[in-house]
Amino acid sequence: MKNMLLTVAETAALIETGAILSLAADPDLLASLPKGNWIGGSSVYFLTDEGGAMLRNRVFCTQFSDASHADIEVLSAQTLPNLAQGYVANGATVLLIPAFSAAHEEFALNSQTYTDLFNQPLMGWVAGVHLDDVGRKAPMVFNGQTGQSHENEAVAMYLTLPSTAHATIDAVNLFQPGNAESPSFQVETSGFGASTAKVNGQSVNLAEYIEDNALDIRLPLVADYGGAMVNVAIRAVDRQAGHVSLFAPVVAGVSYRQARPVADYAASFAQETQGAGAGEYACNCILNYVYGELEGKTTGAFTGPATFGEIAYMLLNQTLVRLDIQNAA
Amino acid sequence: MSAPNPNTIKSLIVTDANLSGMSLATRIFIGRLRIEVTNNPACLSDKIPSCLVLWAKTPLLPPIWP
Repeated sequence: MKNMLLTVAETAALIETGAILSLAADPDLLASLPKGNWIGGSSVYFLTDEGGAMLRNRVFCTQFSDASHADIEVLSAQTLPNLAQGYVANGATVLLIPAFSAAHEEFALNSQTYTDLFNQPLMGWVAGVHLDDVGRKAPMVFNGQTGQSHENEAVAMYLTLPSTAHATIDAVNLFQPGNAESPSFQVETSGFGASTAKVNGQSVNLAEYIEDNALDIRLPLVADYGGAMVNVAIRAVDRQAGHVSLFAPVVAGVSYRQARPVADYAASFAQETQGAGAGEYACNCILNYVYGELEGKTTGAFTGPATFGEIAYMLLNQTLVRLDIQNAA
Repeated sequence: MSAPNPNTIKSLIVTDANLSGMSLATRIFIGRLRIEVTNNPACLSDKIPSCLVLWAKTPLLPPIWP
């Protein structure tokens, strides 16, 4: 795999070679590209070799040079549950979803129940917009084979890998749940928001609880999935409406604790990843970019878009996700 | 590779054995099952056959058994 930060002209030239690509850029740039073996998602924030940057005139390009073939499919909220039907033997799948879309909600709430989902590496990210444009412009994904953009559907790229190649996926999460003395949260209904929750077993209005206890909403709620820490980022607390909105769903019956603070995001990523990341397909959360003040800072050797959600079989928040393809040939 | 013993899968689900050495897919999959079974213990027996099918199909999940 190869990661590159290219101009539109350079990207177009690469597409014309028939390369298999995943692209992240301002949607106007993606819309101007020729048809080819690529998928793309809107994003203007990137982690580059020189550090985090907001760029409207560059395309972040990952070339899957080990893949011999790619099938691209657009999936609606209705057809997303069939995602794994497109899996190819010894393959890996990349999924891009526009933020705040019906496909986003469907995948977030139900992906773990999809038939055969775990049969091969599934990695991807949620396309976003400039933070000043949230609520004004729609995030979108592109099917490069048709050149069409989609605001409400996901796009999947099913990669065929040679028998000598092996794909692995992992997540790097800086956050650890608070200790046993910290409050435990549970909701009764799964969803991207909550009004009431049980805190240490007692039913409370969650918005009031968060404000009254001055919880730092930059720290996600963390659930322990068998040792995989899964974050849910807090989007907004509306005390008047008595509602807390979230960037990923909280799941009924799951116990969450708020994360412990992270002092230095950039240094922590570098420490966690031990210099790995070059030549891997990766994305990192826009909230890590913002809260961790990553502009101008590097996160180990990982580069890629700063996204509105990360996908490693399920929707994640405030997490770095990585796909590595090792080829013995 | 031999198939996992159903009792091994069962113990993985009902205990809080550390899965940190296992693949991300395994951790998420088992983690989800643990949550489902904690909330509805009666569903445990329904989960074992689907686990066996999954283990047979995918190279991602093993090895989880000795």
